[in-house]
Amino acid sequence: MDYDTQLLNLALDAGEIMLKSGAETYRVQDTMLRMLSVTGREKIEALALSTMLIVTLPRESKGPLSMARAVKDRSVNFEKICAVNAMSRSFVAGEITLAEATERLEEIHQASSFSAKARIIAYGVTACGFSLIYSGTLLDGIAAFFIGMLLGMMVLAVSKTKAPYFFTSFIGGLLSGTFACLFHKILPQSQMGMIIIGSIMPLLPGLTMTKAIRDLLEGNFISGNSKLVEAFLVACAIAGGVALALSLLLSIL
Amino acid sequence: MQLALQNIFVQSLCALFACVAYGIICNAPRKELLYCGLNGFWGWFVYRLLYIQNENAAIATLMATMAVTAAARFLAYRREAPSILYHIPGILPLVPGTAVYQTMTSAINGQILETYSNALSIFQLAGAIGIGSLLILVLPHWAFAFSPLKKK
Repeated sequence: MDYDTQLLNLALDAGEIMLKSGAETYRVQDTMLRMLSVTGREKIEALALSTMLIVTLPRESKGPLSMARAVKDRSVNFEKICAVNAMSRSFVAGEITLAEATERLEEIHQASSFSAKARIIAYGVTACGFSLIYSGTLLDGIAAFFIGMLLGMMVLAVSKTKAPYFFTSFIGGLLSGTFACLFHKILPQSQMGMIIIGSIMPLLPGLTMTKAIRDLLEGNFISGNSKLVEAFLVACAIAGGVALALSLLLSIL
Repeated sequence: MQLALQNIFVQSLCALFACVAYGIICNAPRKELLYCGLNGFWGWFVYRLLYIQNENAAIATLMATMAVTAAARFLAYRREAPSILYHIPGILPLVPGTAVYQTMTSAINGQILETYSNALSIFQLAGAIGIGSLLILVLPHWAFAFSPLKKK
């Protein structure tokens, strides 16, 4: 591969990692544009949509070179965003060469994250904390902690399969509705609403919604619209799961 | 115990722990976790303070989002990390989870008017978060470059 192709590949790899890890559209675009601008040529282009990337680099001898890449699965990983950001900064500043940058990107791709146990407990703590601050009692907090851990296990298990993205949210709503209802039946002094609100909090599309509104207000209408629809679908899937569990259980019990 | 939970500091401490845990879920770098939590503390503190004053959730959310976003950009400048890292955990307590739940329950109980008003309040709060973030995000980079503290 010649230098131009390698550079485009590097920019696309960096953009793909950032987009997969939940970075904002404008940041992905900006990072790719900066990495291409080290050539010093005019009319370079970098475009990021919510599911694809396109970069174009003009060449002296042949015609312009353009590459596209589809980005499918999405997760949230802030550590990778930070690492790619730092890498692109030092690449643009000329501190590392193209080969070194490609190597570092490979390392970032395989970067370890928190262990499964830590993440499951984190789901529990998030659920507990939110049910406490939304005026729940200590009992609700404890119930939300255990249901939150259950949801965490479910999310980690489902993320290994190729299930559709709203499946996690639907099952999450179903589980939290079922167990909150059962807990409320066993201990009637607990508040079912507070347990459910707390435990679904880690699943709610707050990140997607915030990014969608930001994209819309910045003028990235395609990304903004598609993210808005995604956030809406996820919220509806959660609400549908909870509603199904509650309407079934409340009529049986 | 229940009285203590109504205390604004105790609530904000709960938000701190919840936001640190959310940082772990989002795989934030280990050394930034505490700052994610502190931003959650700050956001919920501002929100409760304003909510107690005028009982208007939309205004309180708007102001708290602005406070959180400003803090996130300040931290991002100081610690040389993307601002989204501090922004998202800070905003999480303000996400209208309660409104989503209330819309859902009123929908399955067949209360049409309440469903509409609850759904509208979701849009109101979501819009407040969006506008609040944007009002601070459009400020230029140098606006957050001031500090007596030494840069990392």
